[in-house]
Amino acid sequence: MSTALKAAPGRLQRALLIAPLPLLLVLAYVIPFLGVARWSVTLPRFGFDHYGALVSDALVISVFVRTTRICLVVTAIAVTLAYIMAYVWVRGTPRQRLAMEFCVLVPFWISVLTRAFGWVALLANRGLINSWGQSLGLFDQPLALVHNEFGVIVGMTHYLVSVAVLPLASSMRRVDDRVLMAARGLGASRLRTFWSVFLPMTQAGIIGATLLVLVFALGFFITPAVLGGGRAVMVAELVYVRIFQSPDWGLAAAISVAMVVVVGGLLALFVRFAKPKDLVG
Amino acid sequence: MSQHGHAGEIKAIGIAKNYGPFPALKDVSLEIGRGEFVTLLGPSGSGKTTFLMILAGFEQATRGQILMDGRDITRRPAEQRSFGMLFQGYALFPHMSVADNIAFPLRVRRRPAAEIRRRVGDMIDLVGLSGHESKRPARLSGGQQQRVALARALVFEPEVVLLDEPFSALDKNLREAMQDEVKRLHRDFGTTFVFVTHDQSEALRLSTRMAIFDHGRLLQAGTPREIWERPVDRFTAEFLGEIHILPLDQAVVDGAFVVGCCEGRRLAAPHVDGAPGRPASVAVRPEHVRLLAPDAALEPGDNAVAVRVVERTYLGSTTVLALETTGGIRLSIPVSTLLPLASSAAGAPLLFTWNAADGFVLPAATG
Amino acid sequence: MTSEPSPPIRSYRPGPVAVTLAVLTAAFLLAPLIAVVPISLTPNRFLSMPNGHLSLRHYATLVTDPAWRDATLVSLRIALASSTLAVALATLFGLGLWLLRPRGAPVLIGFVLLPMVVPPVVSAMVLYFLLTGMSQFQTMIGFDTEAGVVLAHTVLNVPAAVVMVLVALAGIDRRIDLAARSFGASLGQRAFLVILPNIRFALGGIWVMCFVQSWDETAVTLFITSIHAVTLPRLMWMGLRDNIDPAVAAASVVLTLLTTAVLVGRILWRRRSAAD
Repeated sequence: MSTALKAAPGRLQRALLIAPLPLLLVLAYVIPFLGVARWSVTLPRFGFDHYGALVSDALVISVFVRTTRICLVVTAIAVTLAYIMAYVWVRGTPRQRLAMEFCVLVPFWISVLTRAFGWVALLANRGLINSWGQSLGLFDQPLALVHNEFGVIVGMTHYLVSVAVLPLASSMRRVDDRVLMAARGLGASRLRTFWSVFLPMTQAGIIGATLLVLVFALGFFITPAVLGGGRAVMVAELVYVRIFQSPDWGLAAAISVAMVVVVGGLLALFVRFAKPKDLVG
Repeated sequence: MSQHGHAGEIKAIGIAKNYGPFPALKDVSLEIGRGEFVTLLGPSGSGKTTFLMILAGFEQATRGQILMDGRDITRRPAEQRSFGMLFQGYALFPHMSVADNIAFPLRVRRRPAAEIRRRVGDMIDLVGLSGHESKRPARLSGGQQQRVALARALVFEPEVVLLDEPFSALDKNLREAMQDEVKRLHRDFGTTFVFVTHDQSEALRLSTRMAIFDHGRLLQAGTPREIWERPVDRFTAEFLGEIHILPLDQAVVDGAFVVGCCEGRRLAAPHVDGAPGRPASVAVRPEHVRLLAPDAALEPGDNAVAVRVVERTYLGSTTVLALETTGGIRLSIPVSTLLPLASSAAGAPLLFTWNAADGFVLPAATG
Repeated sequence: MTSEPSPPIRSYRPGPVAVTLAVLTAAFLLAPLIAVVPISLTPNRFLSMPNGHLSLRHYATLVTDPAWRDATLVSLRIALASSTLAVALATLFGLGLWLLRPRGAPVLIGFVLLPMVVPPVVSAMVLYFLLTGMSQFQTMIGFDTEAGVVLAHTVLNVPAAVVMVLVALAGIDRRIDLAARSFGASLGQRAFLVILPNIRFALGGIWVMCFVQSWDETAVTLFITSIHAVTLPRLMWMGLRDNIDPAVAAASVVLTLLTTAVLVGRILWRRRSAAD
């Protein structure tokens, strides 16, 4: 029986309650975004040169290629590690669950900068690993672990594991225990049950986590900047450089617009394949 | 205690409600008099709750008019109708104490603090919740929460109280206790009550008048006795409770009776002037039925049908006999276990009889 | 987070391989948080391991150096203002949708969530455009001002706040609102006497989340500040880029401990309220 209700309040009340936030976002986000889009075709002069540069300028293309490469590698590692953690978080003993919750949520809530710095502390020439390695005589020269792509990949993976765990865990919670027991009861081994029952049932979570991580990874700025030390520049850092160091606002704006297009495409895939409603709660 | 407030009189005229193309209510007209206890009874999806929501002002009727003491309130929003309302699941405010819950209708009306304190105190005494004033609803039992909801709906002396299946979550004993309580409060306050339920016995027990809903239509309105004894159609007859229905062939009006034929026997039932539809069957409630030996003498005016016992089901103080007529119509009737009849063997022939004046005619199903 | 570990007993537990891999991953996640601790205790002025000698001098720097103290205060002020604004706007919006149920609600929700899905660096460009533009008319809210950062952080944090407010409101039984209306409550009374009190703890949690987000925000802040509105992350960034200052390690340790304390407190609070 429907108890759907229609209130009949005045237009004014409606406007006063609902309108302020959308209005603020139009003024402080949508209009400035259009302004940025305008920069991309008017600075320094009118034309689509910057968009041409996106597909022809050697430096820009090398940054795009590096960004894509790093994002793909990081996404693959992060989703795999996150899957294992989510599995233990969801299906482990109460003690294991608590441990996993702690280990996922604490890094999740700590700022990117602090985490990136933590990796510097571990990987730098005078950092933890090189100090210990040298004093134990494992190697003579400090290993180049940071200020290169390796450092960026490590730092980004670290950030993205905790991002990926949440949608994976929520898709795993949906798997009915009895289905797994049925598979075992029908004679499937543990591995077989996992491979042909559990994994397919969490497919939506895997796709969702992958796209989510990819979207996050594309926009990474702080981690590559700190751990790459200028030698592994990714798209977001390129925007920063083009605004503050070797100014070319038009190009920076064009890159921003292009990123929105790419992220929009990935989100469309996300909505299409990951059924976001399944991943909430 | 009917000095409490003024009891309202409601007139619903031609109410219809569509949800998109789906009609939830079709042309319902009902008058609810001052101080009445009217039950809206029907299966789920019958439109009874929609009708209550329109009375409450939470839903807008697609067509029709609601009059309250002669004033049109069709467009008046719920918050200005001042009806006390009792919801399914109580809808108590979880963050407020019992006393604050009950005080709510008075607070929003900005009554003086002293008056609020006095009235809330009176209500708490009246529903027997003394000592629980400062508890949160979650700490109360179902029955106690129900009492809080009742007190909250009555404390501001509304002219009309609307109750939406308030007891559906309670177990049988508690439900009966709460039904008595509601009946008492109705008597004490003298306010008009409109009560939605799908439970026939609850409706019979509580109401001064009942309105039967099905498929968005109001089928019949009347006192419990009228509806029990003279239902207008087969749906109402069956929905209300146990009934035996026998088809009637070649029915004709013969004086005060409708007379027809069933399995070669002549059956009669009182004729009602202006009854709708072609008479199609005769019905009788189980309390009027007598089971006799096949050769027993009939009294004048008795209807009788020959049956055989098919099965006996022992239920303690009663035993239910499943019977079958020669034409294969199944009838079942409870008899006191102590009677010799209760131990009739399967296959035993009996006469199923009742006085023609106690039965009634049902029309052929329409559309 | 919206996801809760579900309590029922699982008969089908992860095997030793999965547990070992998960423990290694957990170690990977915690390693950099722990690694900063020894670095922060180095007696040297440069990033290094303390060899045999521990010092608290970098922690002392955090307290005595006016740059750190000021940055902390700036971050605190910005986080307080922007989280309060974000929660207020999100609550108003969510409450409006919940109470009035306008037809275009899904579209409106989709619209206000936009800043959440746009890459932070694009948001940074957008807000840089906005604030440098505003600076041309007045000096109150603009590039490199605290008010400008407050505005930017509010815009950035409000989508997540809206999501959480909507989740909190979805948990309310609509019948209590019907009850309030039938007893004559006005729109304001329904909001302030019935609905808001029922989500007050959720609102508190959302506020804390917005506070933490603003307090930690780095990427956008770097674009819209320069030398006046120096937040803690901005100061740490400056200390990281040039010649790595071990005071950054000390600050990291302090921030990590604070975050951990808040989280553990939250987990315990939830367990206690679940046990009630």
